[in-house]
Amino acid sequence: MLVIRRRAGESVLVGDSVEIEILDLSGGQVKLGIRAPREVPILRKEVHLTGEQNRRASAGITSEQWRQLQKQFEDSLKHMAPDR
Amino acid sequence: MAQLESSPIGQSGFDPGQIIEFPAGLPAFEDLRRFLLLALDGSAIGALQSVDRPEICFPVIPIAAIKPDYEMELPPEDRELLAVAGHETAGLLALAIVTLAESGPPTANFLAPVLIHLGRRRGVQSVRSDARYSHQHPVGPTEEPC
Repeated sequence: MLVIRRRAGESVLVGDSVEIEILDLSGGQVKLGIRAPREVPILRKEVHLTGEQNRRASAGITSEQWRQLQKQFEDSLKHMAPDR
Repeated sequence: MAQLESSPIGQSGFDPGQIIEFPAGLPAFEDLRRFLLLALDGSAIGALQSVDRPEICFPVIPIAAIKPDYEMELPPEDRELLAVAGHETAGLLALAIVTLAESGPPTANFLAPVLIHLGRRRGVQSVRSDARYSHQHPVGPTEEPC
């Protein structure tokens, strides 16, 4: 990983068309300003991971798999709810 | 009764009053705004079923059933999407989307809980920015500790 030290008001360039500016540092957070062409998607990494996970979760689950899931969670509920 | 064309879980009819509106869609499915929350009999697992694309159906579990100590966080922008005020969390149902793993147990996305206000019939998938919970938390049957 390339590591660069920058202060507020300074920028880095990624390729020819993306500029990331450090706008502000405070309270353990950094505020970034990003200039990029409209077609370049910019996402928080967590949102990207969740999007990928959503695609996987919904991708072609067969009715057989649904039944298995249902069965597994039926069992796990029984395990989880013992008479205490 | 409105009709779904071909839901993977075999649901075909539904009451349009049961539709839950996701004003921002879900990550990677931003254009899907209308879902149904279907309960599967005798099981903790449910299905978040897209109304507009019947082939899109997410297995979901109530987070409370799997992780009772889960600490909810509701950022202002998501609160706005749900139309809830202040720190109001009453009436909110927190679900996690379950993914079947190629090997090993299914995983639940605890990084991005699906929050649904059943009264207002609004929902949002609220992606946390802290690193507290994983997007691939193993769930499902685990070996009973001896």
